Amino acid sequence: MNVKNIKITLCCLALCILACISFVSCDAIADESAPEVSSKVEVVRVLENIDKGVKITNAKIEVVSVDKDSLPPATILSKDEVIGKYAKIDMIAGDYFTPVKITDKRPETPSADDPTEDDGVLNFKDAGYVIVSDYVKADTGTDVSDAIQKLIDENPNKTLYFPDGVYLISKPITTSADPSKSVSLELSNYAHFKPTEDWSSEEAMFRLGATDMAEGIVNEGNYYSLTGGIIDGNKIADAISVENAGIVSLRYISIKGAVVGIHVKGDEQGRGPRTDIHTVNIVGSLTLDSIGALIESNGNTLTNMRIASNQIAIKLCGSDNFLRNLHPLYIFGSGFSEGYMESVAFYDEGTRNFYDNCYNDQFAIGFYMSKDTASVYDCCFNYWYSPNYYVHIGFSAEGQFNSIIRSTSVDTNHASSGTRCEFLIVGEKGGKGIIQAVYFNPEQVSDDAYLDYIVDEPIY
Amino acid sequence: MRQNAKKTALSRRLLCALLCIAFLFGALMLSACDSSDADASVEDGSEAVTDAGKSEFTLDENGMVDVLVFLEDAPKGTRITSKNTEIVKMDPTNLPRNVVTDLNDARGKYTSKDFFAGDYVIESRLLKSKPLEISDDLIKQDIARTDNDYIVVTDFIKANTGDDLYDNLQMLINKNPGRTLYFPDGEYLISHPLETSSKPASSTSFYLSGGAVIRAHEKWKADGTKRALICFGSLSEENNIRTPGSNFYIMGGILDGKGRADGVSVDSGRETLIKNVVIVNVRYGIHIKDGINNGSSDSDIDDVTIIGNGTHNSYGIVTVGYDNTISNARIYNTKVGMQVSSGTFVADCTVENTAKIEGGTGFLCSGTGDAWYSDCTSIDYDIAFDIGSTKGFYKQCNALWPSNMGAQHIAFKATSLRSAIIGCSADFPEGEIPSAFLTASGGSGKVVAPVFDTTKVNGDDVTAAYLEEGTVIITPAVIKKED
Repeated sequence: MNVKNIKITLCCLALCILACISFVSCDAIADESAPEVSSKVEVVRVLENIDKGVKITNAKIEVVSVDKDSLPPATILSKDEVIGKYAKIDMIAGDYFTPVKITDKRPETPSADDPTEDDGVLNFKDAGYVIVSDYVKADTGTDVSDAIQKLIDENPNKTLYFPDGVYLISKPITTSADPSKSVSLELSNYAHFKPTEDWSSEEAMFRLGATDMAEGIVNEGNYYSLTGGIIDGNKIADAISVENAGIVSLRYISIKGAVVGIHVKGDEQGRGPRTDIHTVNIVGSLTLDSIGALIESNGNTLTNMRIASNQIAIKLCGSDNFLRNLHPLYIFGSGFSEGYMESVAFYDEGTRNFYDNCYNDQFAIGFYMSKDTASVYDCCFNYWYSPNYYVHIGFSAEGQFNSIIRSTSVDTNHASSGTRCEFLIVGEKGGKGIIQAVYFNPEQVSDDAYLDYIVDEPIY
Repeated sequence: MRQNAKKTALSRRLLCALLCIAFLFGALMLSACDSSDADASVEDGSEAVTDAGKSEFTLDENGMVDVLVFLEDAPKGTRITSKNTEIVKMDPTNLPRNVVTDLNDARGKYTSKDFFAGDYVIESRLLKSKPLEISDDLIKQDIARTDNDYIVVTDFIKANTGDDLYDNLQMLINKNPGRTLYFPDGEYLISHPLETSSKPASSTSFYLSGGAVIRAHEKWKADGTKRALICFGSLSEENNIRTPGSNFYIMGGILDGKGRADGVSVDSGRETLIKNVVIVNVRYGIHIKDGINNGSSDSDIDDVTIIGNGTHNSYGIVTVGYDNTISNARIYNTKVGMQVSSGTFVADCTVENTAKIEGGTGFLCSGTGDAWYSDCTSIDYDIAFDIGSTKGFYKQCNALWPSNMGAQHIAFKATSLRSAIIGCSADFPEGEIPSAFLTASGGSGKVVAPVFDTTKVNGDDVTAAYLEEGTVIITPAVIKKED
């Protein structure tokens, strides 16, 4: 080894040592200032087990401070990035989040032919619901009728759940009467359907059983329902029609501003769907053509309903219907009350209809009977809160009177104002009707038609 | 290098400090926003109080008014006492909204925001119970958020903790107007009534899962006349049936008053629905108050079970307003099963005196009557139907005393009978307890086709005097003998 080589070697060594020293000293300096740049990091992690498909909420997660190096790659640090997302896999308390573990959308319903997907997570989706807001956004101010129609058509024999929000539609939503295609619609209490301003259809906003025909009642899919929510006709649209066939249930619905609230269609013989309407409140359009419920088929039941702002609250064209605990309320309105004298709470064009606990509140005529009507009125009530127009009629028969009126009253809170309160008027004398155990003031009525039918003294 | 490192550290510290300041500023702004939001959300309710309060300011001889101010700083969560506040005289024209004028109105409440010495005590910034630590986090994060989905309560608030959830639940209601709150199974303890608005745009519906229990916390405190776990329409009143959102409800679940609280009250609003709810350990199960439309509350009660607290002032259902309907109710353990006012339909209801309270009444009719009872049953109440001189119809109703207890057994007790009693029955037990199907004096009411054993009633029974000519009392004993 010559001197030159030794020098080069020494130089290299020296350089190496310098490099080492500078490296170490840099480290040392870095270490000294380290307390200001902690290797700890705030990270979000699972506080309590989150099952697959479950929405991640603040209550289920926590933020902890951990050693940065201990984190797996791609760990999500901020809880804002996970709240509101859904778990793609089962997560255990203490787990960190990574993008592959979460998803923006609620995961799809496990398919029936893939039992491994059935993990027993109980949410609406897995219970067989189709959550509409997973596919169609409410509150956007845009027309969603096509999107909802598509969802209905693509999900036969499913229940579609509509969360709270405003859903604008420009044309009727139709469902099928075919048992293999029918759907049920379940609306949250503030799921609010409104027609767009350019609504032009003569048909109702919801046409149940409108497409396809189905006969008989033996098929499971023949029974379907519309439950909950607000159907707001905005004074330009009818709300609900029940069209071809089926056993149809309408429940807990708030109908507003509808020209016709509920229209159960039927032919001249009263053939049509059988509908059970329960706890449905209807406010009409305050127009002379407004009807709360128009029932054309036979054998429907209407229970626990409140109906207001219509010219006719209930119109029955069919027969053998059962009505209980219905309360139609007449509300005066300018341009509307001109037709007051023709306003009717219960308009019966059919026969053998049974009324129990039905309450006419202020309509000029409480119960109207056509020439063919032979119905039963039991525990019903007529009451006028306002003396407007001064003529109030409990029962009006177009022809002869052939019905039974029992335990029913005709009453007003302004007897002294000169108001005329008739218990019964008839178009023609005769008929086999009966009136029993009723309450009214005989001195207040001027028409004595009731005397031909009453079997006992009225209570007063 | 070391110098540089120091400089870096210094600048880091400065940066941190700046960040802290920015953060604090942001937090302050946030909390300011929060408070203005909170004010807005309770504005309707508090406005009325303020207006009423202003008109009722008591001025002294110098035209000044007493107001409550803080003597010392009162950070959020501070309890108001006579030691940390004082009454001072102020000019009433310059007072802020909702200022408290009497220590008694604020004593025992907690500050929801930071106050400083000299600040006015503001009613709308007080909480009835101490804010929870958890609420800070939640109010700033999730509770403020409204989305289009169902509001699932447990997304925001943990059930089954044993903590008082009142503040958080009330905040959830206030922050989510016009929404349905869904309560999954679990226990929700509250120390004060949950209040809602009856304005259609800000009303609230409660949908409880079958195993969801809203229960009175051990520190339960009623708020004046608001005594129920859920007070519908008490935050702001409106009489409106036309506007979407005017129909709201509570459906499902269990309400447990723990003997202290009432179940549900309807303080205002129209067409409120109470359905499929189990209400237990309550003074009043359901209390429908006077509506704001000359008394029409138009509430509908259906499918409810009520178990009272068994005291002498316990009632299953009380209605004060008009035009309500009650169907499919089962009521136990109360002194009075139900007391209803005018224009009410009652159908398919059963009341049973399981508390064995003497002198109790099954169905008590008040107001003018105009009440229609169908298929209702009273069990073991001294008086099954107390109808006074009200107008009404009682159809296919039934009174029975299987426990053979009480001082008397009266199916229908009237003063002047103005009602019709049709196809109703009474099953009097054997024994010495004085019994009558109907007691009354005068009136043009009538009894049609009653069913009871005439040998078991005493001289007070006047049924025969009200029978229609040609009709008879049907005696079931004959049927029994044949059996």
